[in-house]
Amino acid sequence: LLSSVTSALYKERFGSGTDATVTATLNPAFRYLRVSLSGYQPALLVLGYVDADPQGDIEVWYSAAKEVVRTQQGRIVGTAGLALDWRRVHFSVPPPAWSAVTRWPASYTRVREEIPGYRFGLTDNLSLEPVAGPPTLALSRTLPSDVAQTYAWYRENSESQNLQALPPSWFALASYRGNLTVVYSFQCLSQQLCLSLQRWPLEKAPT
Amino acid sequence: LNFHRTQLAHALVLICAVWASSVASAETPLQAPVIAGERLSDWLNRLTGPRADTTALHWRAEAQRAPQARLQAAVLDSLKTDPSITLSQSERDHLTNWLRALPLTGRVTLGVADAQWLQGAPDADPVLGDGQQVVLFKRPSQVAVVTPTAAVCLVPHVPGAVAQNYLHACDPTLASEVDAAWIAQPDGRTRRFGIAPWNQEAQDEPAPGAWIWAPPRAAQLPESVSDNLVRFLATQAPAEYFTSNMPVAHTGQAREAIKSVVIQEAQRMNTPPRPAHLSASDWGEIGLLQTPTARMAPAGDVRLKISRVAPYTRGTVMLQPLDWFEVGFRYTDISNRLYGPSIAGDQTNKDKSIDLKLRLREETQFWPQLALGLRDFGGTGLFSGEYLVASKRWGNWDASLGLGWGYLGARGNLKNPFSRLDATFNTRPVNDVVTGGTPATQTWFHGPAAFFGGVQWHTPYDPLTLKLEIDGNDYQHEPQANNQPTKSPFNLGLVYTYSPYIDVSVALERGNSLMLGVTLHGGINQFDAPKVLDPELPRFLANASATLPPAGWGNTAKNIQAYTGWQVRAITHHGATTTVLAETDAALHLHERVERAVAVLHQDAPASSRRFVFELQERGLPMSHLEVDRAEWVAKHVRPEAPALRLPIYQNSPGRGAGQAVQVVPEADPTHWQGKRTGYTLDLEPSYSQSLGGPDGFLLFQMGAQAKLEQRFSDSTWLSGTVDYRLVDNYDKFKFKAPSNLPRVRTYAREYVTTSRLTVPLLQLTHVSDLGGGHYLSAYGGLLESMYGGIGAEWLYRPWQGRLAFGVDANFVRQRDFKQDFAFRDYRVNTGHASLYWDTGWNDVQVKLSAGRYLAGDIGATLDVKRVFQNGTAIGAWATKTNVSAEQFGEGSFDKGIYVNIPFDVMMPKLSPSMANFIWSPLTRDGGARLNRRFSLIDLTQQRDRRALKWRAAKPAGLQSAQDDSYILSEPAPGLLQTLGTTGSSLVSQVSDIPASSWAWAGGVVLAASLLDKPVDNWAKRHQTPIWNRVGSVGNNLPVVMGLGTALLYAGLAGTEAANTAETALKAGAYTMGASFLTRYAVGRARPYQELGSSHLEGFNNGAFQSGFTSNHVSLAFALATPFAQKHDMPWLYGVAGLSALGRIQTRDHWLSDTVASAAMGYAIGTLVGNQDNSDKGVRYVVTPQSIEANWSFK
Repeated sequence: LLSSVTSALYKERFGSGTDATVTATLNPAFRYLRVSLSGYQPALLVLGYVDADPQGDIEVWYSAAKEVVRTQQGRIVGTAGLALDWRRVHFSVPPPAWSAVTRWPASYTRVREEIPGYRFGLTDNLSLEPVAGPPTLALSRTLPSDVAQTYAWYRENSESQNLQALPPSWFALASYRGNLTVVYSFQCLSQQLCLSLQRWPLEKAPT
Repeated sequence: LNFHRTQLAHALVLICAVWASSVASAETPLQAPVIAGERLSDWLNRLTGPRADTTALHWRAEAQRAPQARLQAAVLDSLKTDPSITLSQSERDHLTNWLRALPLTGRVTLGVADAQWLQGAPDADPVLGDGQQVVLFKRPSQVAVVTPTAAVCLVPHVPGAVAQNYLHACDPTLASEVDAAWIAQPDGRTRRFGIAPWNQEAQDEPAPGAWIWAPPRAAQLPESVSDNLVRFLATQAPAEYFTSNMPVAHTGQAREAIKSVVIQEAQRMNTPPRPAHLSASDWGEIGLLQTPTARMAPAGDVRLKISRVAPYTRGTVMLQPLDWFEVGFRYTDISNRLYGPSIAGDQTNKDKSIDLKLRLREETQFWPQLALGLRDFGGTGLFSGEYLVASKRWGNWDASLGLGWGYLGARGNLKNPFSRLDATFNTRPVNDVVTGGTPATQTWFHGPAAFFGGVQWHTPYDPLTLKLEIDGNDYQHEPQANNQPTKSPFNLGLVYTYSPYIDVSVALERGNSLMLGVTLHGGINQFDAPKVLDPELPRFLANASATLPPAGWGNTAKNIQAYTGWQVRAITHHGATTTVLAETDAALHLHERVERAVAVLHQDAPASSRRFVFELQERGLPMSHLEVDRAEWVAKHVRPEAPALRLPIYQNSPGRGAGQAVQVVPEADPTHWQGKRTGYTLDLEPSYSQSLGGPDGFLLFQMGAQAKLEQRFSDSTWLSGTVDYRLVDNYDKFKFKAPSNLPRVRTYAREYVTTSRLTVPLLQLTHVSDLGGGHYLSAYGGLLESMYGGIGAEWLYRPWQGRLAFGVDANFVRQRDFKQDFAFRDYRVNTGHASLYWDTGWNDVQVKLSAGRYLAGDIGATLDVKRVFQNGTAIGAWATKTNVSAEQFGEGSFDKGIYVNIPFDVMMPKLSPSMANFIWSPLTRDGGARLNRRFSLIDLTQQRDRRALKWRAAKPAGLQSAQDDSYILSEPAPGLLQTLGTTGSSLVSQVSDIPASSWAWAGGVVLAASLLDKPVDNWAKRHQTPIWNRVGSVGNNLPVVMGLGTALLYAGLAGTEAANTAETALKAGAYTMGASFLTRYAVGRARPYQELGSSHLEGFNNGAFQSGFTSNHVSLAFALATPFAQKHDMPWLYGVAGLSALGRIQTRDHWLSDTVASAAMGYAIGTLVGNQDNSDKGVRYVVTPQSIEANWSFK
């Protein structure tokens, strides 16, 4: 017991860290999202549904541990089965198209419902602006910096009147399967729960 | 009050009526029929699409209506008949009529009502069919507040608003009259929250569609009634969807008006409601800086506090075994004093101490929380102090005021209030610093006193709390002439909560000294470790294979072993049953292992196997016969079922001679598999041991490696051995020889650990046997522990799932050579104990009482009490008192200690049967020393414990579907202590009703007896022979034996009727002791052995409590005997009680008339208290989550 625990701790702390998502055999018929959470093993989510919505298609991703993440234009618009869920999210003022945000920040409003705590009607005032180059925050090891340099990066800042504002979100856009898509993002569901989402496998931009 | 509430009801109705334009015209919910066999997710996808708003989605099962009807009836019954509820009759009628008219919906809770999530979680996605219904209410927008008059106030939902904001919007007065609110969320989940400034907690916001039930405190509604009521409300549709039995909805204008009130109230609260911030004082208990408060951490909390304020560095471990009891120990380093050059060189002085704190009273709206505490009461008493402290909270402010004695009251600016009783309280006697260890009761609450107290403020910045206090100590009376300069009596500091488990504190104390402190804390009852290093369980498939496992049962056995640690001996498949015979590994968390084993078996067993049977044995002893209903187990994994339709999955019964299950079968038979017994096991592991706080160094330690070998000769016979090699240590400092006045049975510790690096701490041959009927036997011999070898045997009687067990062990042992090889020293002793094990059922407390002969040949008893939490962690303490005097024993006076047990299962990422035991014993001495036996039968038979399948890690519950929410809570029956008050007041009334003639008769008899006082005492003088002394000794000990026996009967040992009588007897005993003490104080009669004569009276002074009239022994014996004698027709018990009188006379502790008066007092009080209980006629209902019990008593 002691040896296996010590060995696991050592690997976790000092080892190269076997990333099962990197070595996993993928089914080309499916689309995947690699989700990582600081301090935890990353997971691969598989796309289950694409629901049509006036503000853009909603992609529904499933994990093997009974978790569901919904994204719309790369933004998390719902989760279920996590320790903290955004059960419903809607934009009272819809976010602009990525391509429409060029020089000046665009503003919009997000209303969400958070469980546990039954916090309904939480409102975030968001502003989106393009930034030059990748963010200063630590990027996932699976996103090489040379690839990150090729992405178009956006930062979404959050403000709230009576809530502690969430940390800024970061979005990276690139061509994915022929469409301009959010291929990497860093988003926080709370001050403590921040996720990195990456389209998987990594598609390098054509040189 | 009633007038006021009626007014309130009328006002509410009026307000609602004004706001309302019409009776609610609720929208019709979606309630389409279900297609038999479809899942709820299918229903949603079919009718609403995947992203419907399911905030108020109801899954209803007809079968669930019956338990909900019982729940409703229980609420109505309580409201009608509970005498403690102070609602007026009309209020009761309003509320009961309204509740009675609510429909029985059969609602069952859902984990997450999200169609797409449900598709990935079939165990949470109901399969719909006959008798089931789905109702989807459009997203509600309002929150309903229900008042005790059933006036329902609808308030628009406001994000961020909490219960008290909605109450305030309905009625500002109501909000200030409520202490707690129960919220039924629209998803059917309920919780209670303290909402008054004194009990405020972090709160879930009421979601749109929620119900709030918030009875005013003046209504005195039992919490169980509110809990039942709100769970019934949770089965209802959102209030705004009521089409009948509901008053009104608001017009748009009224809605906006009331909404603005909620918004204003929510904004007025600077911070969301938070619980009281509990943090440790410099001394480790919950408190301010130098001073304690009356606050308590939740049960299970364990705390390590290290603080430094010159010249003291304190390291304290505090434990919270019960919500109202805190205990701990401390090492204090005094940096400007030496330990003592003769024994410890230049080491700075170290002092050990034990503290405890008891909560006397919980806080209420008007009364503060009250606690009584003792610091350093068990050590040498350098810092001993006592205190009584009260704390009152107002939101984020918490103020305390206390009175301290000893070190805590060293400022001494207050005359001791107890000096009014006796002038001796003015002086604090010097503590006995030679032996220590014994509670210095003679010093408690003596000497000058001082007020202390202060306030703490939990700032809006959540991690920060500020503290300001006035210290009760001026540091001008410090022990060891170590007075400290002081500039101010005030201490000012802050606590920064770095994480939920780490606090950092900084303070300016005495006006000139900086204090730094760190606290590590957490609830051991919350420990849980995900098993990430265990292999992943087989993938669950609902459909089983039609054939036997292709890889054979041997592979199944191998997998079961890999997942559980069990040794599978045999697997047989016959008809519809697959049986596994397995040897378990004494792990506490049995349920987790059984679940894993079932998962493996389900993967391999053919579909024809409908029943799995596990015959579990421990070291060859049959333990459990566990039957698993496979269909129910599968059902749990593939769909949620309404609780009313669920059947039990497991049936556990005593093991059935597991050996019989091992049959010799043809190897080719695919329905059978038989494994080979493990020959031997060998484990290599590191070893570590330490001792703290000794004179040679604060920490003495050794690290090394050890090999553990076990050779099995049969399932029930084995040889265990350990070889240890010490690699690293600091034993070069270990010089202390621990002189002793007794045979040195444990104080050769230095010699044992330093003589040889290679040792054999254990080499023991053991055989265990099941004698049947709950009787077990073990015999063992060899090198039993590091210091002793020899032979021994143990017998244990442990009824299946019984609360009591009894065992006896006897050992002939000889002291081992210091090298811990195979040689022995000359000292040999016969040692053994009779042990009673009692699972009290009260607060998960277990008691072990052992009496017998110890290693030094001393005779005595050990009491071991522990609280065992649901996850198997335990906090306990023991004390041993033998016929060795405190002087002979040496420092510490008697053997004692505190311990914490933590199963590895709750802290390791891999299953392990091991248990971590952290033991703190202030000193190792020779008195009361026990043999450290391995493989005790009580441990080997732990599967016979009634909680064997209930131990489990404290995993977060998560949101599960189909939780059973229709149980009925009842208020716990008042305990012995709670009924003492009412019994006492009745007793006073009864005594006043005793006619004067009875008093005259009793007085006459005592006077008559006094005529014989001197002749009888002369008889006693003449009978001081060994035989008569023995008679006297028996008589003297009789009340103690009767008291223990009565306590056992009270615990239910002999059934309910005897328990009731025992309760009466214990109450009578308590009052008799009180009456006897008061009589002594008033009379102050000299005892015979004082040779002052029978008429020497000197009452009304402190010493009078020790005088002779009346006898506590005799009065107690008669008080305990009388209820049994009268209720159960056992007059001979008076004779037994009379023996105690004989004993007290023979030992010349009492005159004859003392004992006659005492007997009369005990008899009278026993009779009067017994008569109180006889008046209790009619039927009494006891409702529990599992049953409803009706008790009739007739006179």
